[in-house]
Order: sequence, then structure tokens, then C-alpha cells
Amino acid sequence: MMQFTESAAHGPPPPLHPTLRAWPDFPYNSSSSSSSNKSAGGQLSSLTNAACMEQLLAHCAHAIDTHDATLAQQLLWVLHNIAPPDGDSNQRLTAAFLRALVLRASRSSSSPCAALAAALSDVNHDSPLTPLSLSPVSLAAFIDLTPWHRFGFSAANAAITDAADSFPVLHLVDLSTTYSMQLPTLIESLAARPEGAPFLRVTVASPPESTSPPPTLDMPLEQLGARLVNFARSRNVSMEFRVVPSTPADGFESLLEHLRLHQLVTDPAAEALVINCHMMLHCTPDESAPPPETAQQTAAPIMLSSLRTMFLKALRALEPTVVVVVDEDADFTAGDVVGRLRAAFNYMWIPFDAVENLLPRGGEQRRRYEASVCWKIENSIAQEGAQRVERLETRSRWTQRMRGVGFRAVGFGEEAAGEVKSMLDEHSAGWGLKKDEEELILTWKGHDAVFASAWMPSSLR
Amino acid sequence: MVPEITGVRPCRRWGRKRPPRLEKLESGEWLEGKCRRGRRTKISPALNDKDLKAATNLTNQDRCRALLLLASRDTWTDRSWAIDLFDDCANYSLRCPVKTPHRSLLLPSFVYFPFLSLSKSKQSSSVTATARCRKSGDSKPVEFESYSVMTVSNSASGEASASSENHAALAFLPPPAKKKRNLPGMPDPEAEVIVLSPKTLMATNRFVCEICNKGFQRDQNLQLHRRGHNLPWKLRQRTGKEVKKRVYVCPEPSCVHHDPSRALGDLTGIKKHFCRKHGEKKWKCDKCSKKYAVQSDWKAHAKTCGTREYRCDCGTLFSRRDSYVTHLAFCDALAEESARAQGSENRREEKAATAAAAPASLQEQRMVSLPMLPDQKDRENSAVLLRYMPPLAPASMSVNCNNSSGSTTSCAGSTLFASSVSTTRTSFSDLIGGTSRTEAEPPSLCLSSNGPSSLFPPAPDRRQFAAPPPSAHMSATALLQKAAQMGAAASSSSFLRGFGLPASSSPSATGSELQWPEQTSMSAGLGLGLRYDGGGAAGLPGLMMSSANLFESKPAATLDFLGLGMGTAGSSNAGGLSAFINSIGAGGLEAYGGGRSTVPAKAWDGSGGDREPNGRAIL
Repeated sequence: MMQFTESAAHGPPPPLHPTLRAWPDFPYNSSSSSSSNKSAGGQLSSLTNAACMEQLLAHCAHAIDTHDATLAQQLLWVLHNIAPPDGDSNQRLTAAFLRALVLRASRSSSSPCAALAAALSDVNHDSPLTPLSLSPVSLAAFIDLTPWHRFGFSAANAAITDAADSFPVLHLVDLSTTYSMQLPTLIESLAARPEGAPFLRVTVASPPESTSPPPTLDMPLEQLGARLVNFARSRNVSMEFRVVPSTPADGFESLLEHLRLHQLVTDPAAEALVINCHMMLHCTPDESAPPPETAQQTAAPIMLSSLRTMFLKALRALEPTVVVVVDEDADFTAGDVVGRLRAAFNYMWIPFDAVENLLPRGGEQRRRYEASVCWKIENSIAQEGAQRVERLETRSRWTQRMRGVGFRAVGFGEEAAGEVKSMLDEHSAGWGLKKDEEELILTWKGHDAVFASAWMPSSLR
Repeated sequence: MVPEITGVRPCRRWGRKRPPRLEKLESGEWLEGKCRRGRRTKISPALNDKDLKAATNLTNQDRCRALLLLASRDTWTDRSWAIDLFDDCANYSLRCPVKTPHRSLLLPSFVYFPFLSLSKSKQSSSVTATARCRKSGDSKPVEFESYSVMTVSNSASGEASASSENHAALAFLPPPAKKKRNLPGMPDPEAEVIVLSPKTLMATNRFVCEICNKGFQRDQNLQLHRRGHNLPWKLRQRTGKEVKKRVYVCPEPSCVHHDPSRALGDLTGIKKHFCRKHGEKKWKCDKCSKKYAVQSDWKAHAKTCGTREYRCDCGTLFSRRDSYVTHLAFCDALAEESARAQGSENRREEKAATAAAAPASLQEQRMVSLPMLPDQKDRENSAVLLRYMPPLAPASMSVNCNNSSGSTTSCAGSTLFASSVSTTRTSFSDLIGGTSRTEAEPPSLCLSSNGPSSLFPPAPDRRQFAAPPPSAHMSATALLQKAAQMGAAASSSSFLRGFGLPASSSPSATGSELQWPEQTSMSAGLGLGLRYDGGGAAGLPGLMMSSANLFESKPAATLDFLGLGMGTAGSSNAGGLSAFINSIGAGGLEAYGGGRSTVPAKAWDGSGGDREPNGRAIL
């Protein structure tokens, strides 16, 4: 409610009394819900439940896409008033989507929406989110706030340690957006191996900055690797760290090339090849993404399958010992923005809700955390084409894909589940663990959040 | 008038955490839960469900009675209540004597169980009623009033004990291990409720000896103590009759245990409760800031404190091990520590190196003979490689013969690691031995090629060389800082020295002469000299590329650094000599890079690959 006066003070004033047009299946209780600041609190209370907000956002997205400037304007205005960015978790969630929609409107060059968005964007971006870059230590602390990543680390490390059992060399290909934050615990668990630690060879894909959600690392990966090698030395683990610049946009082509070459000169019996895909596979273009230009020129027939499938096939051809897939369990691949928005809204509340009572409002950590979540929302809502890298798919879809290219699922053992469970016990009570036949699933208040699955090449092929 | 069904409960020996025991009823019937071998238990059913429903706090005997009541019925007027009750009983591990999967209670046929069969055997009228009910089934449910059934059975058997062969008794099953614990405080209703004042509860030594002022918590202990003073003493005798059971409530009115229904069963319990919840926390842990009101809690904490908390050298505290480990890996504290460790290692290696002697050409040959991966693309990928291998044998360092073609190297490294090819390893360590011997050479060589040798006395050089002071890096260029962080300061500086001398002959390097003992400024001079005559360096793209990915963020500095060798070679016009210096420099560096983080070595390796054609061109 403060925003109203502020925005009136410095942005170009939008119409103060927008006459609300009726839109379908929206529960009104009052004809003018945003006419007055003082009465707004009472009247808006019915609007501030999540279902209504989702409805409003969906209508707004539709209006922006159909260039219905008036409706979009009204909706943006209502949303802006019912969802202050410093409200409760639902309001924050809505505010994040609102910002994404404004961004989207400003992207669409034609239409009066752009002008409107330009006007509104001053309001919404009063505190510009500078791209955040953290030192490794603070980044580690940031990642440890919630088990969002730590869950995958824990499960994957257990699977990797199992798979690398009895191999003298473990070649870990780390496809992760978390800057190898998983490795220290892996090194530690390898060091505890009774027959001695294997030689750990780590190959890391370093994607361009644009595809990784903030906060980023303020240090080159090579330097980070030096620290990891240092750490491994202190644990008496021999280790090699290699950075291969590679981007998910082309299906990690250069990385695959590198791995193929590497395989020519290594003994597959001595070296366990482990691919750890931690929330980065969803950045590869799926079927709905436009094919990259280079691929179109060279190999048009192959492009019948998406880069995502092609990458998985290439992985399969490498005959890895195990492939661990950890990703967020949602579907952001819908072609239309409304469908995507609904899916995202019904998923992204989890990270907002999870920190509602954990971090103080307005704190630095909270701001960083939410900026990171907002980046994902903005990427999936406001961006299109190759820029849209948050192309999450559901657990079942990934299972289907992995089976399709000739992998079979390996279940997680009891120890792995127990380890994850004890890790979750040290976090807030809302987090839970579901153990499927083949997967481990992190839940927040019973809702699936992140899944982890491990795959081996099936012998049938 | 109350009918009674009696049964025999099989005797059990209760453990400590078994369900609460049944107690005597006031009305004459009794429920005895105290286990002794052979003791039988009689249980009477509840009168009707109304008073049970009215009761808010069901005791276990209430539940038992309700079970009996329900079990004696054919149908229920209030089925949901019955289901709830059975659920409730299941929670308390109270079971009906017959199998009662309680969901099936909804079926009328379920209730044909011992009560009715009992009455059947005794009373014909009851039998017919039951039979009729069975036959009619659901179509015409007959509701038996428990009262009437019981009356029938009662009158028939005369004394209830006659029916003791049926299974109407309740079986107390020991609770499953994972059952939720009861709320604390479920005392017997008959127990005497005692309220103690806060002062009494907090008092530690209520009974004081009048002679030595020693305090005791219990009178009995004081009496025993008095015996030692030869004072009259008297121990309380256990009274023959049953001791009245006592329960204690908390004096704090807002506390849940203030209510007699949630009273606690023992005096120690209530004392600790009062201390913990309403008392001052005066026991403070020294290690962490936690406070405890009860000393025993504090003691228990002190045992585990520190074991479950992790402290990094940088002062950060962690409660979770995974966070701690992750932090540790990236924390500067570890990097510094290992840098120090490396420094000492360097010194050791240095000593070993000076002791031995071998021609440098051997080393050079080996360098050249290392397999090179022909693939150019891999080089373009510019994969950066960092590696640590622990020493396999005392003499062997990790071999780093890396250039940007990573596959080759890693192949060699892995065979080394697996130590499957022992010959390879020895040859490598030979190589290292050979190279490390040469490292003392470069300064003198360079000096001889340059005039002002008096300016650069070899002795201080060597000292520095051996133990590069970390403080000298304060004014260092970014390049050297980086190299130092990688733990390879010693090697790069020694290397720089080798080339720094020819560079210092260029006019722009005059300023650096003053600061010569500081390696850092030396490198600055280097950079200058390079830029000055380093026009030729532009013609070495491969060289620059391989170095650029090494010193990622400072490509310009690296370029200078690398170009220097070529530049000086050109300017000195002593092609053969410069090539030799070059090779020695690379070799020495290689030896240095061996045991540590091998970054600089790699760059020079990369240059080593390119060096040959370039050197030829110069020649």
C-alpha cells in the first residue's frame, strides 16, 4: 500500500481509478478493489490468496500476449497493489511474477504494452538487482541455506561413491550450476573409502554466465579448482581438475568432444566415468526450443530430435558407469506463456515459502535468495527462444528420456536415503524425503520439489 | 446390580515402559494390572456408552470397559464414536481379546464373539436372540442392549467367575517400539495430588546437619549421616499397609503440568521440570553460549559440545558437517596453510636437488619425447588442468608434463597413479631429478651473459630462491600474486630470475635494479622489458593462448611474461645461448612445478612445445 503513493510520486501516474472490467472466473467481492489506499487493505484481503493471484497473473500474461494494453494495464495495476514485494511469501511470489511479466511486456517491441511496461518498470525495479557475485565461501553458505541443492549433493555423492567402488580412478564430469560446491563432501567421502581413495579426475563444464542463475562466483573456475585440489591434498586424495568451456545451448558439444578424446586414451576398466547432472540438464534446449543456426546448416535431419535427446544419446555412447540426474520437478516447457506461468506459479512458491520463516525479511541473505529465485521466474516467463534456459521437465519426463536412450534406473540404497534423511533433519521441519522405487524426492510440506535419480547403461543395447 | 464379565488375562511380565497399569475401581469391581505371575484380572464392562462419552479424560480402564461394552453389542447407535474409541484403544495398545480389525466393526457379524456365545451356552432365550440376529443379517438388525445380555448371563451363571473360560479379558499387548509416546503426566485419578512451593522445589539441601552444616536433599540421608556423629537417628520404617500413591503438579499456574490431570509421577521429575521451564538458567557452557537450568543437562551437553560443532580456522562456526567441509575447501585459511606447507616442501626439495647432478640435456630430450596429442581442437578448447598427486615414492613428485593437450597428460598421470607401468615412473622421476639439479644454474648463466654481475650477487639470490618470503608479495603484480596463490611462488620466481637478467639490460628496466632482491618488482621489470622489445612475441599465438588460459584473468601480463623469453633471445643475438637458457628455464620450472600445484609448469610446457620452431626461426 506504500507502493501506491511512491509510484504516484515518481513514475508517470497511471489512471488512478481504473474501471475494472469483468474477466471470467475471477471472484470479486467488490467492484473497485484498488480505488483507495485506505480501504484497500480490507477489500484486498480476499484477493490475496494464491489462487486469485495465479488467476490474475494468467489473465495478465494473456493480455500482454494478445496486446490488450488496457486490460494488461489494469491487471498489472491490481497485481502491483495486492502484491508488494515485501509482503508475505505469496505476495512476494506474485511480485516476482509481476516483475517477470513487466519484463516480458517491455520485451515485446510492438504494442502499447511496451510503453506501459516501461512506465511500470520504474516502479518495480526501484531496487535494481545487480547481478550478484559471491566469493566461494559465501556462495557455499548461500547454497547451504536450504537443502535445495544439498539434497542433490548428498544423494548424488552417495550414488557416485557406490558406483566408483573398487575403481582406481574416478572421472567425474560435473554438469552443475553450483560451481563444484558438491565436490568437498564427495572428496571427503572418497577419502573415507576403506581401500583408499581413488584418483579423482574432475571435468567441469563452465557455461557462460548468462545461463547460470545468480549468485555467480566471483572467481575463475580454475582458481576454484586450485582450491579444491588443495583441499583434496589435505585429505590425501589425488585429484585433477579440468575446466572445459562448454555451454548447454549447443548440448555441451565441446565437452562431449573432450570426453570422447579422453576415452580414446584411457582404460575403461580402470576408470569409472560418472556424469553428475545437477540442475543443468534442463538448460539444454528441448523440443520446443528453436534449433540453433549452426546445427540447422550442418545436420538438418538429425535435428528431428532435440539437442536434449542428442546430448543424452551422446552420453549413453560414452558408456558411463553411472549418470546422476538431479533436477527440479516441474514442467516449464509449455509453449504458451500462460501455461508456463501456471506451472511456474505452482512450483516456485516452494522456495519462497521455505525461507519465509527461516530468513529475516529484508535481510541480505533473503534478498540474495529471492533474487536467485526471481531470476528463474523471469527467465522462464520473460525470455523466449535461446535465452530461455529454465526449461524444467518433470521427473517422469526425464525418466522417459533416460529410458529412451538406453539407460536403466538404479535405485538408491538405504544408506543413501538415510544420509539424505539425516541431512534433512538438520534443516527446517518442512523438508521431507520421499523414497520412490528408483528416485529420491525432496519435498516441501509434502509437495515434490527436487528429485534425484541414478542411471546406468542398460545392457540390452 | 452391575453385571460382570470376568476373564483371565494371560500373565505377562511388564517392562518399565509398558502401558499404564490398570487400577482398582471404586465400585467394587476391580481391575488389577499389577503383574505377578499367576495373577488374574477381572474386568467389568462399562455401564453404558453415555458416561464414557461424557468422560473427557479417558483412563485406560475406561477404555477397557468401553471395549467390553462395545464388543458386547451387535450394532451401535453411534458408530463413529465406536470407531474412534477403537482407534484410541489401538493407540494405547489395548486390544480386544478376539481379533478386531476395527474397520470391520461396521459389520454386524463381527460381534458374534465370546459374550454371546457364552450367553448362548447358558441361556436359551439369549441363544435364540442371537440366532435370529445371525439369520436375519443386515436386513433386520437387532440391537442388543448390553445390559440385558449381561443380565442374562449373570443370572445364568450366578457367579461371574464361572465364565472365566471365555476370552473376554483384555490383553495388554506390549506397545510396538515406534508408537508415539504418551503425553507426560497421566496419573492415576486416585493418587494424592501434591503441590509444592517453588521454594521447596528449588531447594537443594533441605535437611542440614546441625553439627557440620552439611546439607542433604532427603531426610533419610540426613539420618544416615547423623549416625556418623553418634546422634540419635531414625529411619522411617516402611509401613505395612499400601503406600498412598502421590503425584506432583507444577506450582506455575500457566504450566500444563499445573493441572492435576497432567501431574508428574515423581518428585525428581517435577523438580527438574520446574527448574528447566521456570527456573533460571545458570549453568553456562564454556565452549558455546548455551545455558542450562539443570546441572545434569549441562553436564550432558558438555560431553557432546564441540563434537557436533565445527570451527574453521577463520573463526566461522558450523553445526553441520557438510557445510563445514564445503566451507573448509574454499576457505582462505586452508590455502594459506597449504602454501606454508609447500614452502617448506620446496626447501626440502631444493636441498635434495643441489646434492645431485645431471646434464640438463637429458631432461630436455625427455620433454620433447613426451607424447603430444595431435588434435588441435582440444587445444582450442583450452581445457585448464590442475592436479595434485601425492608422492608415490619418497623421491618422486607428481609428474607434470602437461601442455594444453590434456588427454595425453592425464593418460600418463593415470598410469602413474595406478603404478601399473613402473618403468614409466622411474623414468619420470629420473627426469625430475635431472631437471631439479639444473635449477641452481640459471642465475649464473644469465649473469654471465650480462655485464652487471656485481649488482646481482648469487648468494642472496639463492637464499631468496630457497625461501621466498611471502611478505614480498605485497607489491607484487597480479601475475605473481596469482602464482603465489597457486602455491607455486617459488618456482615462478626462480624462473623469472633466470630470464630477468637479460631483460634488465634493456633501458626501461633501470628502476627495477634497485628492487632487485624483491622478486616481485623483478617481474615488473620483466614485464617492462618485454613490452619494450617484445614485438616479436605477437608472432607466437599458440604460446600466448596456452598461457592465457593459465593465468586467466591477466592475459596481458602473461603474454609479457612469456614473450620475454623470445624477446630476450632476439635481442641478445646469442641464439644458441638463449635457446639453452630457455630450455634450462623450462626444465628448472618443470622440476619445481613437480611437487605442487603445477600451473606454471604447464604453461611452460605449452611454450616448450612451441619453442622449437620459434627457436629455429631465431637461429
